[in-house]
Amino acid sequence: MARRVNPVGMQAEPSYPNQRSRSRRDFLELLALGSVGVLAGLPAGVRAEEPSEEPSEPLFELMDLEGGYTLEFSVSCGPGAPTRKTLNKVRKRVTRYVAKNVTPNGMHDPVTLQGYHAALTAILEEVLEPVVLQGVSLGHNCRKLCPPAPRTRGARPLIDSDPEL
Amino acid sequence: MDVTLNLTHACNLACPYCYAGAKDDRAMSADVAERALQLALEDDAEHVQISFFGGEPLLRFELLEAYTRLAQERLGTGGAGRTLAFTLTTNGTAFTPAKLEFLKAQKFFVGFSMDGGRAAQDASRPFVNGGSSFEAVLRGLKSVQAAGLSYEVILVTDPTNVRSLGESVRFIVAQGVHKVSLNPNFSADWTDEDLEHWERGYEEAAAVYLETLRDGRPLALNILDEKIHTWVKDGFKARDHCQFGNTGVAVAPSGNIYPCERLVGEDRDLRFCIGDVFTGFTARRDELLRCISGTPSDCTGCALSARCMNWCPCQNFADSGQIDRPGGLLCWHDQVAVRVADTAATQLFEEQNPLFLRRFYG
Repeated sequence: MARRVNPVGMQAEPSYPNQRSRSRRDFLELLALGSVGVLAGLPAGVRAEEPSEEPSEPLFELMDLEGGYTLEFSVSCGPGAPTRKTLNKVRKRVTRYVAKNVTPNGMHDPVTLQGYHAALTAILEEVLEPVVLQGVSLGHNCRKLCPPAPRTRGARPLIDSDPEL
Repeated sequence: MDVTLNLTHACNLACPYCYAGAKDDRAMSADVAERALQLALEDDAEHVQISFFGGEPLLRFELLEAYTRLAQERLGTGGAGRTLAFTLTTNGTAFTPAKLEFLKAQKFFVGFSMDGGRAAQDASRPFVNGGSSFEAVLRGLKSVQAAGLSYEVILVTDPTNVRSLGESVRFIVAQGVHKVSLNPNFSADWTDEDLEHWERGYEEAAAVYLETLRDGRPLALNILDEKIHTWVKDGFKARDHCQFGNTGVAVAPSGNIYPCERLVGEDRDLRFCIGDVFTGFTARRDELLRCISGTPSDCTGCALSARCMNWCPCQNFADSGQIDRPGGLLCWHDQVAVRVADTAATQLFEEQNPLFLRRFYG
């Protein structure tokens, strides 16, 4: 049946954010909210309750690791905020884990990547305790470390920026 | 330049929607393969992808093995110094332990074609004798998983199987697959009723996507992912577009060069032939490349144009018969896909789903 192209006019924008409108810090805050729910054992979609005490600004930490990797995480701040010494310990442990376990290919495989995040979360929780870890994100310099992701032939082309390709 | 070797026109399945046309036993000679691999040196790309396509390339595994080694010798770090990646698109029925071992050792990425459960698979992907391919394909999938190969499952959406689309996606994901590509057959004759099933199928597929991510298991589903990405990063970018004859070509067993493997067919209609490996490219290559630059005029002013795949020459050709303009089916399809993807993404964002946030904002 022949059909015609039917351009659509202006539409309401989707209500999930466009990356242009989000700073990295805003994103990590989003990630933290999601992770808190999961860490607290709540079903996805349910946020952990806000602490009853006066809320404090979370601390965001960005670490450049060897080999082109970065680790970002956020923790609750306040009296129990991690000291420089603790952060150095984090760096040491995480660097060791990354050097031993993380590969550029693994960063592009959703299952392996999930394993990295779980392991890093466990390390951070152990070292930072009693500070509450709110979000963890392992990044890598894809342009530097990775050849282009393979594209399967014969199918609808897949877009290059899909991190899981 | 990335090169796809259409290794053979032979296939052991008889899928009614196959754009490769009628099958026969023509296969790529070593001379053609040698010349085809030289094409990869046409530009100064540091990374080269060599893909094996058909027909069913595993039916001529001895050629695949030989040409993989040839590529490494000529192009790899021992030869021209390129970084090589290999991919294989297969119907999944012809794996053996030895083949899997080789593919694993060479780090092949596998595109595994499968249309779903027994009914869907057998409706659209029977053996040439009409027999069921379901058991063989399921065995093939399990063996690919057990071998630890990187892979994705490609599911062709066609009027023959669209009524069970949602169920098919659910079945495939239940097999432990975490990367699924839905590949619409835009050249089929779709009725209005088929389209209703298609739209419902996407909604059901989105439900599987939501369930899986909520359960903490990653899932890549191309139809949703690409539309979410195009919102998050403000439209398709140039690097997302396929290489169509520019930085990527397909070579038929005869040595004829095409801009994409989807246009090789039986290698008898030479409208899209852009040269051959012995004499090089013809002026047709530049004509085609000129033809596809810019937004199709029919799409001017469309609010979704930047999120639409109206730039894919092969999809346009399948739909409208022209490579530089989409038809109404692609237009309808991408509007539906955007709606379904945005609905799913909105829910996952509102739930602050960690996998969703990491995936699209990480």
